[in-house]
Amino acid sequence: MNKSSEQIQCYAMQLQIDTFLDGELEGDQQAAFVGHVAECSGCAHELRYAQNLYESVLDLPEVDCSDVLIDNLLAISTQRATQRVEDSEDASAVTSRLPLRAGLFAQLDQFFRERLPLTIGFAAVSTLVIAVAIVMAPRGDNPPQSVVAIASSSSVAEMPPVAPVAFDAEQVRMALEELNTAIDYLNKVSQQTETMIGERFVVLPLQQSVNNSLRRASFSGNEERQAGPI
Amino acid sequence: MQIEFQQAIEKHRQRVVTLARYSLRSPADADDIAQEVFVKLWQHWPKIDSDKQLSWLLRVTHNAIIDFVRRRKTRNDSIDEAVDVEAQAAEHSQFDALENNQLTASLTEAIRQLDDPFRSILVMRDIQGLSYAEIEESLEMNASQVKVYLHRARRKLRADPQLRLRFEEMT
Repeated sequence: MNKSSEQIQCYAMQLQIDTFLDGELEGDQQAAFVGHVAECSGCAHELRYAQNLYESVLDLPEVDCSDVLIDNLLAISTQRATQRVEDSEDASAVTSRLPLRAGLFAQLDQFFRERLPLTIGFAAVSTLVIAVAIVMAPRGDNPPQSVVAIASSSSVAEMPPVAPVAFDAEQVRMALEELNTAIDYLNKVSQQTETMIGERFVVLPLQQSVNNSLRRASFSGNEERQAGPI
Repeated sequence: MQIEFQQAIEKHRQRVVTLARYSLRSPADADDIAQEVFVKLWQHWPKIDSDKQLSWLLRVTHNAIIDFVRRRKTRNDSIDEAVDVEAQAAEHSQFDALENNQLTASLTEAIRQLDDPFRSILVMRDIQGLSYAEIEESLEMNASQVKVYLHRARRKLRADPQLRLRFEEMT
């Protein structure tokens, strides 16, 4: 056997060292391996080294973690468990306030009940807007017109041409003054009613008072509109 | 659940920490990995079958180590080495005491130099004594792959010149 073939054989045997150490070489393979190692000092040396190394690795200990880490892990589980309980309590509190299947109106009702000042403010603003709309609404035979000019479009092309109607700034200012006057008047009426009630309830003087008040607030050319009830 | 989780920590923490410590130089980093793994266990607790807890933990540990090493490679190595030395100096654990044995230190360092999955399989099989089936399940490999990787890991270890020198000196 020449040197090259010996080297190849040694390489092949050394590839089997781990299988041999694991006890997984069988039959002819094991016999060939043992026979080769018995005759080859290099492979015998390599086998001894592999065996020593393997045993040293097997002797390496498993490692436990530090007490600090254990404490951290236990603390994490405790904290997170507490957090989960708190989350579930919050969720149950919300559920008790609002049933899961509560209707939209029930939820809106609860929303506004919990925000009374907001609701009052919202109602006041709404009333004001409605009052402004009533005051500014055109009267007479003319049909109501939008503040915004009606845009010409194909759908209205067949209709008779309508001149766009809009309120100018002066008219808006006047309407607001009228509204303020009316609000003042209502405040006074409210005070008068409080003092008069229990004696007699007079409708006519109140109506005259309203008309007088509106007349005072009216502008020239606007008497007709001002005279109507608010 | 909390008690069961604490029992799982008691039962498996040594496996997780061992795999991390034989993979990373700094014991503090290894402890961080272990902590991260157990936090994940807590987060995924309902989804994990109790029979598969160990394989799940080892798989997550293995992946966390790979991620950690990958992240660390992007940092400046010299700074990292300095941090490692400081961390090692600061830690005086049972493991450090064992590493004071020169052979153990050389062997541990040689194992740390192995790439994954060679290192993880060597640690799981030869140090932790896990069965091939447990390693297969943990690393999602088949039996022949595990054996091939294990034998190659041992050959790589034998080829380490410093380790060989240390053994030659002993004999």
